[in-house]
Amino acid sequence: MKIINHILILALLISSTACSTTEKFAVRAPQGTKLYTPDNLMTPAATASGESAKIEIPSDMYCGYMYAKPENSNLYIPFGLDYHYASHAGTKISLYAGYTLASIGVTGAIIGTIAMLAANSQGDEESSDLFGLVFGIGAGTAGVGVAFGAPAQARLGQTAYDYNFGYDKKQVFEMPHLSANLLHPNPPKGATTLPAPSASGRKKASSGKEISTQTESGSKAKKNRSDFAKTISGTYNGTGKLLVGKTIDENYPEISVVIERIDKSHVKVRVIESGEDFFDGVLTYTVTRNKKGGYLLSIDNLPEATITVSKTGRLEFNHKKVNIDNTMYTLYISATKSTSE
Amino acid sequence: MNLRVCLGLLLPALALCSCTSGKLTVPKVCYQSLRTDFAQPTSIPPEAKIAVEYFFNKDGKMQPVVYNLTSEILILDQTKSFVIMPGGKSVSYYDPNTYTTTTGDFHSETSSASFNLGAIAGILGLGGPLGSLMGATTLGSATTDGVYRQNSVAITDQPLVHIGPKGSVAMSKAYEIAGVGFLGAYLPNVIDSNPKNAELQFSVCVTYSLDDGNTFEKLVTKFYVSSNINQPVVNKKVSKAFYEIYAKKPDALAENMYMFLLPNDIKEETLDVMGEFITHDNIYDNCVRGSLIDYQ
Repeated sequence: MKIINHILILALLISSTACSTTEKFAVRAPQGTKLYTPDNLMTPAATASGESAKIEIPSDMYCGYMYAKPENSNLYIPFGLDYHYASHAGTKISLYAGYTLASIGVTGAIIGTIAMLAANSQGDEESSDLFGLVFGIGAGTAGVGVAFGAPAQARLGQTAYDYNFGYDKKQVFEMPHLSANLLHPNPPKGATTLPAPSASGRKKASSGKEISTQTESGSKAKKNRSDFAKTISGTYNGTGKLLVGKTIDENYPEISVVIERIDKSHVKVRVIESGEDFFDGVLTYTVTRNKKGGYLLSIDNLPEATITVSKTGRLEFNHKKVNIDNTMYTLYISATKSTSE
Repeated sequence: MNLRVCLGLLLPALALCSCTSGKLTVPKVCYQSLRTDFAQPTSIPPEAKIAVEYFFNKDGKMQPVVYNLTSEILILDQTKSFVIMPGGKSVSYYDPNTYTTTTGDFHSETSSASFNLGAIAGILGLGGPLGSLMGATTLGSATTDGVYRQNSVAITDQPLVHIGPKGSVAMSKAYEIAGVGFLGAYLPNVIDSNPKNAELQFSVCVTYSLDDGNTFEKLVTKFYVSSNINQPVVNKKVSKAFYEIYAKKPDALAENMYMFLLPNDIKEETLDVMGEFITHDNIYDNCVRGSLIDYQ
């Protein structure tokens, strides 16, 4: 009896350490960041709120990464999940101890049954009762063994158990420095396809302040009844000059301004000179109507950069804060809309 | 005696503990982006007649979906529509002897919750869930669960396919492009390669007619792998590999079509020690976002 008690207590202790079917860990992330598992982008698994967010992933799944959606952003940022080796010994011991116990119990039940039948046939009631008890204990022990072993076997079939891994208990998501725009975009369809290397060897210009590489949540567009951006979109070809103060530093006999619609009142602008982008990033302008019936394009917080497009398609590009190698230039372009658009 | 019995049970159990499929190993994180040789449009001109949206998956399979943007019937000639594979081999979209499965494992995830404007509806400015457009033909890019709905778009393996006004059809085959997806995890590292010098280039030619088959036009789209970054995972720190990729390519998430891939040793089906087959099919080791569009 003492032996059975010891076995039962031992099995109970072991299996109690192997009851979980989920992998639990915590993710530290900026306040308000929503965290998503790859199988469900609709409902966040957790939202960071000062303390680490607790995540549970089923053990029969492997998640190499999760998504983080910062507050006030529509951006889903994949980030990796660190892992470690986990032997899950408790469950394995529970499985094999359980089945070993079951084997012992079945053996005892069989022996008890045979002996009980033999004692019965000889009319030995006392012995028959004793062997009956042996059968009962054996059957009970087998039942307990299966009760521990079967669930453990199911768990061992799960991915985390079969491949001996667990996720690090403390994961961290830190907002990486990302650019919302492509740093080296291709030209639009139909435009010059291959930018040639710069003949002047001039470095690419920046517009005004250093271009932010942080992700942008986007700004709300001003409502307009008319699609101004669509009207002015296209390629404008003309001439230009680069000035330092009032002195002309470079003349451009052929230079293009490519305007591409983002939405009704915002456009992307690229300046192409000698087949190459003049600026190292795309400029985003807001489009409004001016008093003369044409259009005024401006950059938020940069009044020194404006573009006007007249009713007849004449474009005047004026940018007084063109940064090249930490020197401020003014770029002026006069162009007309290409008729092939 | 009692202790010996307990040990007698435990020791065999411990000895058998190591009998599993193995240990998880993720040696690296791969980032790959695909582009057309022109900038992806933010709007399609209203006079455009045809648009083709290209979906890619982690196995390098490419699934084009052709949209008829006109009010006429568009005839798609699959016998004259080809994929020119990397290396130059040309394969036709109509080949009765070849069958590839166009299954629902393409993830575009361009619902309102996502950030890539890969869906044609978004580009056309039509707005709203795509399911309400084009006669309720649902596009994979519009699903909220991010899975390409193969059974909602007609797929026909016929020489000529007629697409009704404003309708769409998926091309009959989802060809595997060698070097894309997990197949390309061993390509050399490159960031923002020039389309003409790219290591891996391929193209698709779609031939169609809008005048009842009297004349045919071609829409040829050239693709290339613009970036391929293999970042080793050190000390099982997968997160660090992701951050290293972001540091090397800050506009990684601005690409119209990109994927993060985590090669690993988990097999979809293994045999456990009790003699039973166990399956591991919830493996999230790839993040595929976006699609590429061309129009004419």
